[in-house]
Amino acid sequence: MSFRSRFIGREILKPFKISKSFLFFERTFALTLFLLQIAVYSQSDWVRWEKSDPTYQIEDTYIEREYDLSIESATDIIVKPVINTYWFFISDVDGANCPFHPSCSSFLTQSMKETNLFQGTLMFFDRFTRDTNVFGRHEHYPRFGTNNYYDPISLYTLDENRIKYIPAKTFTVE
Amino acid sequence: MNYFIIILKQFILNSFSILSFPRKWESILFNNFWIPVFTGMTSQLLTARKTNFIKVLTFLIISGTSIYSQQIDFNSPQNIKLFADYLFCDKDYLRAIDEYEKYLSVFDDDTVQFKIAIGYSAINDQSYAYKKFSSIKKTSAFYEQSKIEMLKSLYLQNIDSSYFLYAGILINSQSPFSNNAYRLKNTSLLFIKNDLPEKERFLIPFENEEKNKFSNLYDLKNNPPYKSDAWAGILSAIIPGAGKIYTQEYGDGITAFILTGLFAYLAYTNFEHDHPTRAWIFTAIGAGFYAGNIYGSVASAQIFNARVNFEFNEGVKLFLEEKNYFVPTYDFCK
Amino acid sequence: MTFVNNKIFLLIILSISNVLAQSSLDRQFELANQLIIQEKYFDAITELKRLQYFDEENKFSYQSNLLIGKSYKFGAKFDDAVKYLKLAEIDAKSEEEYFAAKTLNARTNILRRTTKQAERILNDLLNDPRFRSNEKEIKYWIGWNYIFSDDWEKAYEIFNENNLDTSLANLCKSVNDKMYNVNFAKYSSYLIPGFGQFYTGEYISGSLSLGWNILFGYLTINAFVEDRIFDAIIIGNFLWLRFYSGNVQNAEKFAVQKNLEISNNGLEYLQHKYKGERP
Repeated sequence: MSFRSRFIGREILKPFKISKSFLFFERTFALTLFLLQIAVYSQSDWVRWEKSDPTYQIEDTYIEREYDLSIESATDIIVKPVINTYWFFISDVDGANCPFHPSCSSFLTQSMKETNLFQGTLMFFDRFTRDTNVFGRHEHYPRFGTNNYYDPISLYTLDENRIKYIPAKTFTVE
Repeated sequence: MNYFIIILKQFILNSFSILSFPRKWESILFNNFWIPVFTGMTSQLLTARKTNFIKVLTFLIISGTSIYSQQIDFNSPQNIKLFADYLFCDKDYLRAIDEYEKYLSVFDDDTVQFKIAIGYSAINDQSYAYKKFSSIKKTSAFYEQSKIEMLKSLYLQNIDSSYFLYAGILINSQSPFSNNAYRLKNTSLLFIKNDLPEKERFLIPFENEEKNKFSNLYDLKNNPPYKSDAWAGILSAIIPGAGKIYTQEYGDGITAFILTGLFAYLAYTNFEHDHPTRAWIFTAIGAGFYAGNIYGSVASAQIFNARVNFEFNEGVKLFLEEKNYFVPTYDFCK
Repeated sequence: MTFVNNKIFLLIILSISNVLAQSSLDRQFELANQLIIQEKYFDAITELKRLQYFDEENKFSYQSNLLIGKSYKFGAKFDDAVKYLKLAEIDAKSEEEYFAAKTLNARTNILRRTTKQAERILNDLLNDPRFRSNEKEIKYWIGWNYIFSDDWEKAYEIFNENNLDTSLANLCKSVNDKMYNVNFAKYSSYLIPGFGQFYTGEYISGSLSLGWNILFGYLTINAFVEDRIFDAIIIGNFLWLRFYSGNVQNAEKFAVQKNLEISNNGLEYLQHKYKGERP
């Protein structure tokens, strides 16, 4: 019996507690907003957690150019040196012109790696068309990083099982 | 002397709080066994007030501090349960589960067992939820509810053969929730490719309002608004970019048309003005755009269809979530 | 007779009250503190919540909210920490308690990198006449807040003022002195392509940029001179302009990137080697 009444007691105390704090603080409006915010429960305790000391450092999003020097097929002998030269002499010094991730030249090398020279070329021309079209990108592609659209090779190999649809405007990581 | 005044104040405050909150009376009567003795003595002491003032004061001090240092056994099973209930209603499920487990080590309580399972389900630890639901005994009032909850947990883990097997058992049982199980099972059939029963049979478990909705979903699943990839390719072969427009990629379609047209024109004029090298380069690039666009139109149709599937599945998932997977909801926090 | 009885009764009462001198709430609070010392923060929060639940007179409301906030802060659950520290602030019964809750809230905001919020809290405290005597401590955290806002120069000024903290002042100064001027890198590359890259030590990229710009600049001007206007526009627009803007972008990017590395080195030192009090 006493336990049930203890519970009722808490209910009696609740409005008392709030009105006291209201008297104490002048910024009542801010407080109400804050109390509303408190009422929204948090899910951070749904998994057991330990002490954590996250780094003070600011995340470094800079991506170093990784030259691809591996030769795995006959096409690599022709394509790779051209791509690497393009990257070194042109792509790295002519500014950020590609809105997509992976960039157009990486798209070409990757698609050739995953399919063949002929199909890779077709995929590249298609990508180039999409790159030229500046309209409706925002409504069409998911996002990657701060200022890129995500347009992976797996969508265009014509293998339906590899297509993993990601809705537009979603933020993605690889 | 200041100290005495403070203690006196505390005593007065305490007696005031005793009067204002009836539950304090109870705690005095039932929890603190010696206080009735003390209350009985007060009148006697008050009469002796004038003659022995210091004694009374000492007594007041002691009584004041004694009431003030109210004793609560935090680890008594009842208090553990009270605290756990509070945590549960505060949606602090993991802590509530820990406390309920402590309580269960002393008392056998099927409501608490059920709430533990519900807690695991709420924090989306479905394999634990399933285990806990399945441990609820046949004699419990929550037995039937836990059976349908088990189906929900299985569904949320994976729609596989063991899920359908269990659904079948539940549907054919005498459970009051067998129809709920039937509805959940038929809805989850919508996620599986080409495995739908006839429409009449599919709609059996659903009631009037739901029937329309599920009839539409059934039709949508059987005749999804796909775009044909072959047709997209053919269209683009006839008019560059037409296939992309067919798959609703209007900007890409127009761009492909302009690019192919531009390079075709450049090739044509260069042939006309006798610049064969340049002309052949432009021809090659134009041909690249032309073929690339046919290829891209086929890919675009496939992506369009993937989007249709995705949106259908997401819609069904959302609907099921709204319906709480056809599982009854409980309010333990009134 | 009654006198004797009373005496005995008083003795009984005294003995009982001595046994129960420490209330169970106190003991519960002590338990939570022990858990915090053992770094079991999740369990500490459970015990503090239990204390709050049974503490009907809100005797421990301030302490428990403050410690819950602290525990969340140790677990890097900064959003939850800020909520409970705000509650502690509301429940504070004295100026000292209010100040402690406020500063802890500011420190949590610094770690969460919501530096605007931290700045607002700290400025409120600084302008509050009640906390004149705590000015040094407030300014110390304002300095840290500048560090986390990546403003090492202002952090240096704060730490250097009245010798608030010389070791931190020296660190902030050395970091600030190493920093590249982003605007200088950018605008110098507008004037001389490649200059900003040389300034940040990227000589290869700078040389390439300079080379391309000289080449396409020459071709464009040459085309104009030879009256091939169409060619001049095409080369100027699609090649020269492309490499020219790429050159400016690169100069800015390198400066920003190098500065990030420099301040990250400073932050690394502060987190792992600095001996003083950290947020």
